[in-house]
Amino acid sequence: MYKISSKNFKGKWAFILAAAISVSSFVVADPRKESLVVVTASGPNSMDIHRSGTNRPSYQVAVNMYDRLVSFGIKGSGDQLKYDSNVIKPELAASWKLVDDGLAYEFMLRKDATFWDGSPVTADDVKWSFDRAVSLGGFPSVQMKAGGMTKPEQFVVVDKHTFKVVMERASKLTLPDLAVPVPIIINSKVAKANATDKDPWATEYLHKNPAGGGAYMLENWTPGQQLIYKRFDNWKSGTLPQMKRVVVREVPSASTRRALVERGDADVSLDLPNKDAKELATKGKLTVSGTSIDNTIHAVGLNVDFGPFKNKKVRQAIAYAMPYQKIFDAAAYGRGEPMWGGTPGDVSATWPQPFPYDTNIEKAKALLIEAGYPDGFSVPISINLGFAQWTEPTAILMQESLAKIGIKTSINKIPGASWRTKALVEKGLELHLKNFGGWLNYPDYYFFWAYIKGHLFNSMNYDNAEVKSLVDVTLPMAVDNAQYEPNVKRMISLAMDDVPLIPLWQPTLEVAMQPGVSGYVNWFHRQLDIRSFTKE
Amino acid sequence: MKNWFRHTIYIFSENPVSIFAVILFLLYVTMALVGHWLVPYDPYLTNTDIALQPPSVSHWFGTDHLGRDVFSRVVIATRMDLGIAFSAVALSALVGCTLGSLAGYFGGWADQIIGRFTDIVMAFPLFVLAMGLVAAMGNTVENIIYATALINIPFYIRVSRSEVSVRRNLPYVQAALQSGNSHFRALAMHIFPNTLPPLMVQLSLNSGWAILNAAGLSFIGLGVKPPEAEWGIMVAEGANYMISGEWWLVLFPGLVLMMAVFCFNLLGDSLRDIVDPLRRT
Amino acid sequence: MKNKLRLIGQRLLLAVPVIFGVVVISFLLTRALPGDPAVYFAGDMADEQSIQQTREKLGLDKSLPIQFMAYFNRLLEGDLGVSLSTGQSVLFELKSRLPASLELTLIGLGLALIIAVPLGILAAINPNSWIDHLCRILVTAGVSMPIFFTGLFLVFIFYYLLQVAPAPIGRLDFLFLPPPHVTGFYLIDAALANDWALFKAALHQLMLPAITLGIFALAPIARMTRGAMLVSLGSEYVKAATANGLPRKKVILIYAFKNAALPLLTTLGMVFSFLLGANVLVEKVFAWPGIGSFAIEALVASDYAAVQGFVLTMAMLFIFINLLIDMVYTLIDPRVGN
Repeated sequence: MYKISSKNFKGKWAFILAAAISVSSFVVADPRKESLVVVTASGPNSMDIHRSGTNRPSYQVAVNMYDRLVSFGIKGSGDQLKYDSNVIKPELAASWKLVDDGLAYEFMLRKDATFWDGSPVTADDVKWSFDRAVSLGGFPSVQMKAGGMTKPEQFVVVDKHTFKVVMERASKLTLPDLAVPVPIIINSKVAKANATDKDPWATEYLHKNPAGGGAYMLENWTPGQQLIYKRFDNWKSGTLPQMKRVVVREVPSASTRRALVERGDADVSLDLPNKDAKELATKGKLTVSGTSIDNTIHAVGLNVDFGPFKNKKVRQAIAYAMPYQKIFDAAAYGRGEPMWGGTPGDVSATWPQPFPYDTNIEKAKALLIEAGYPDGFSVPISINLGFAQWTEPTAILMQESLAKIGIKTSINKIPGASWRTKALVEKGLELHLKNFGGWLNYPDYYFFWAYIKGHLFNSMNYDNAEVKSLVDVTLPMAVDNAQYEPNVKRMISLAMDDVPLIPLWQPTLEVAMQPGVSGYVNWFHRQLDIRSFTKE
Repeated sequence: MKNWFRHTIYIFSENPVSIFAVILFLLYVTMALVGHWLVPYDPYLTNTDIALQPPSVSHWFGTDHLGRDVFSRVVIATRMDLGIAFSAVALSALVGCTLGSLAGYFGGWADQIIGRFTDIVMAFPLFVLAMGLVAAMGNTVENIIYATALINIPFYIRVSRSEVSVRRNLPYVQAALQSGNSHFRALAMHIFPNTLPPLMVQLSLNSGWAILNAAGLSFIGLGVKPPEAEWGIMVAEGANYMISGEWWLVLFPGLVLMMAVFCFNLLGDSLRDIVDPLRRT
Repeated sequence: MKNKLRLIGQRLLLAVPVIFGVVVISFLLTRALPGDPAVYFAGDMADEQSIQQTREKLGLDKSLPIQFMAYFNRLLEGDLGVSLSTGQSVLFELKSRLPASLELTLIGLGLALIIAVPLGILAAINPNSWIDHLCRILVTAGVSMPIFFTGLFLVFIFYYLLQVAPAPIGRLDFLFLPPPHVTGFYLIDAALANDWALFKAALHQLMLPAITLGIFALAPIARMTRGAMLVSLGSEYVKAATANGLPRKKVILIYAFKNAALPLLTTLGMVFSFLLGANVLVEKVFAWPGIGSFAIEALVASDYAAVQGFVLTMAMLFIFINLLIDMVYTLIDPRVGN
């Protein structure tokens, strides 16, 4: 019954409430030493990378639960480990060689590899999986195509442990393309047992039930909440990982993720905002690993279909009007590689590389007048809401700077889902910010996707016949070919001069870990490879 | 009229909190009107060299992540927020009272249809409806106003409907009709003015609501476009900086926002007391 | 009684056009969302042709009325579509997330009731005293802050600084797996499974978000209690009871409060609806896997099937709750129907 004495009334209840909270915060005995707890912004929406509509975080499943024929090596030391795009190492394939005059690869599969259910991994499984990758269409097929693999006929089972990939023409990209997340090796017996006439590739089944032979198995998946991996103790395709159990939890709020890792409730926090990474690194209590992402730039796209942008001088004017340092400070917090201020005429065959532009308002104004826009013009700046962390401050600073040369802008925040349609499919955004990164670390690969008319990531509608022919010739060309370097340099020079894309900086992938945790490797696919983690 | 005035003074004297609310209200309106000319810095001017600095003598509320002066931004945001709140509320009052009066006066089919429409709008969680509308129409200030107005319309329909239907059959209305006034004139000139007092309460409460609504939309990314200054978006973005220690980014806009909503809520309460002492809550 | 049943029947009937209106609006709303689901389904790196194929497969190239008929038919079969962002069927998502939101809202409402009702009674007993003013200021303050701010602030103080609250990572800590599914309410399911450690863990995680919601609900409940109490305290029968010498406590609690309970009930319905809407923001702060966080992600991702399902569910819930309260009111209130 209520005691209507106004004095202790409310105090009593407050006390009881506080007591309830503190009493319930007793510490439970901690089996956490055997598990790793990782927090990320968003999680997978499917266990099957070949399925259409599968999101990027789902790629971690392909990496951790399935094997590929080969993988990339690892370079670096301490907490600056990174994949090595120049080294291909065995995974399921113990060795390989080029046959048929360099038009086919023959892979010798390891004999002791088994799937989780104990059945041996054979070349038939590899063929079924690769056929699936090129037949289902969508992103997986496109990625396979990048390596020259388009038809099931190209995949040949020589014998139980020998598998052949036939190429239509020799390409330096084929072997690396076998190391990306897409060409996974699925347990075809299990998959076929769960296929139907309407669904011969078992997409319904594999969507929720992975069937692989990778280092980790599925313990539990609650979509939208968490994914729990448990180690496959008989994994033979590499060094057996140390962690027996890995919990990957979705925590949408970046500041909560930071709080969790600072308080010690999470072991690893993936994809930190640059500001958090910088501050946590300075504080020194946590290990912060921040290495640059290969073949990726945060850049400004200028759609050449938009009136004023047809004129190269206008584009160059904008390149001179960008407040590069301010953007680098406010959006990147100094973490990453600056991509401006290069020496004009000094071009190397690496990508990305600093463009020969600097913040020079006078020069920008002069160029605009030359181009015939003494009074400037109006244009909206479009940014992807999903990346607002860096796109918003960048856009605000851009807006301010462009106003100085007479270009009036408004800022359009476009939600992630529509971004793809508007920017990449319709290619209708006039002035926008982009962050494309190529998985295979070659400049020609980047140019293929971003500078050829009609290709997906060419949101600028840029069309240059010379660039196109250079890319066509160079893409399959081996790096040690005498023509390779000159071609790449020429491509880059054209890009620098025409500047439909203004590079701002090369971003880093930031990860924070508890002091005893190590083994994080920065991969091009930007997802978490949990196989290398160790914990003291 | 004189009695009404005396009554108001009496209510306020009994209730010091109400006086406080009125003073605060006037302060906010003043800030909204003249704030733009009185602020020490250009609220849009960035200066990354002095980003994220704590409050100091030169920057009373500190600086934000782009080096802009937080105090200036908070002051000019007053105009944006009060603008959104008043426009939305005025719009929904206009539409809602018209519909509700028609429903209450004519009854029958008009009442049924308007009643169902109200039920449908009220069936959606208000904030969710606003969210959906802004996502579908785009996050411009106009759309935020329209969305906020729409979700508040049912309140006005209900209030004006019940007030009008109660007064409809009163003698003075019958007299006005018999002396040749059309229905609409009777409704607009004779009935409606008497329904104003309870409406004032709603207006005040809904204004506070509208501000919170805009803040909520900002939190999920559907707020006003950058670089506009609006309390809600400053709180939403500033909240991310709490953990890293830049407390001033969220505290000052948050306090100012809270005081504004607080003031509107209190005003609404006081108006309710003035309007109908029997229904004091 | 017959009159009452007839009234209830009438109300049920009136709900039908409203439900239909809700279905139409939720359909239109999601069609108005930006973004093209065909592009999303066609996958990364799809070209014009495969997007058009996907569009046809999804039936998105047909006219709006035809699409609506298809949608309506699927609805009647219980097929709410598949969510793009989580890859699960929308029905599945709603079934697993709704209990999470309801559990949170009910606990929040409970907490608010425990504090606000006594406050309201207290204020009504001492009108215009400093207690009254203090109550008014406190509850109004609670409802004047943006709810996400209250939540984040509580997390900051109690989790980050004081470390007495658990990490805001959802319904259960990393160490625990959910109880065997009976109702979906972790507290009930854990109790049914006799797993008291799990019960404590679930309760632990519920506290902070429920308090956040509760703070928001204090004002309307306290205000309504105070108002209703004032009315009933001033009524004839209470005066009679006091005049007849009944003890003050009994008068207040039994006579006055019982009659104040009816209007309070209506307010509760409104507050519950209100909180369900506010849930959206609280769930984002606390990473709560309820329908609110589902809705935000779906909205921003233009996950149209998910948004439709969510809006429909919420609206149905509201209509249901209001009907329920209406019915209870009709049944209890002796003045209605006679």
